[in-house]
Amino acid sequence: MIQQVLKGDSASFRMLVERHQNLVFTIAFRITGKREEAEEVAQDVFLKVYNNLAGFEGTAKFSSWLYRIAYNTALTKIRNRKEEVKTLDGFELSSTSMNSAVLNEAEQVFTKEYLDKAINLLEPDESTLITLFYLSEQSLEEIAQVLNIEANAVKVRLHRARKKLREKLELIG
Amino acid sequence: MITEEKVWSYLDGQLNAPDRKAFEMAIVNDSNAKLLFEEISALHSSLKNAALLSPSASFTDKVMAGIQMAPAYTPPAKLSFKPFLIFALPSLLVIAFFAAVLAYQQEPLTYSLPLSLPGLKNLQLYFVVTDILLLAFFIDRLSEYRFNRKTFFAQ
Repeated sequence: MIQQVLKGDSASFRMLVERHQNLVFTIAFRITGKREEAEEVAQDVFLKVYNNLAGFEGTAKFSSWLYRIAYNTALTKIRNRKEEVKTLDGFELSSTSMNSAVLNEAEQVFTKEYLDKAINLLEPDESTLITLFYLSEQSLEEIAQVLNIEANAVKVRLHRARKKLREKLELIG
Repeated sequence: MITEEKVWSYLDGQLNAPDRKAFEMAIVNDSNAKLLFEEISALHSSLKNAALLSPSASFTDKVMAGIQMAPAYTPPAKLSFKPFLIFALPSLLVIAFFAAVLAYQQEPLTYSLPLSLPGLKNLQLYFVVTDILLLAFFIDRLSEYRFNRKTFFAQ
């Protein structure tokens, strides 16, 4: 598909966008915390990919390359933002959804919104790490490439991020 | 003692068989450990089952429109610079240097260049100018080669 895009086939690029847009958007949203900004970032990411696809050397997986661009672009976006404190403007969390963290027999089930809110309170690298680990089926080595850290450090950071996520869940619960 | 880290390692399948068995015994016998396990297990399962977020329905169209507005993609022209030039150009410089030495021995030509440098005769000067041009060309190609090989990750 990448070769087709390089030959100028825009239909192939459309397929590529459709295939990866949800994860790119999710990474952007986890970092920016706002849908509008996340959508801008995701668009920007695909434009960068289109314009630089020839520079993709194939030494890493295409998805790792793409997610790394998404991660860096979203980071740049929040760095450029005037407001430094990450707020929860993008969320409209109703009290009913807060209460819907229900106990299902012995198992507590966290609602999507509740979980999204807690993940968005993490640091960008932590939220990206959790997103990639659980939703993209990336290996620890591939996640290390995206975050530009050592593979050994991914495991440590994953533990730290999940611990922090539990704390955030308790905080907002 | 069951720690949070141990529970995550268990859920990730990273414990070896004896540790796994000990862990399973502990959560059966220790109500606090069981509670911790259930809580973390629920979170783990929620994270695994969480759906990806979706951008707006028009997202793909917007991206494609952005691409059409941008300059059409054209594969970059192949650089004329080849790694063998790293050796070829310095070799030319060396050859030119020895030619200049030979010229110094013979001083055969009568034409003159529109510039002069102290201590250098006409033919030597000619070679020096050629060397400078070759060197400038070499540096130019080398810098372009290096620039184009920068990875996109730096952005």
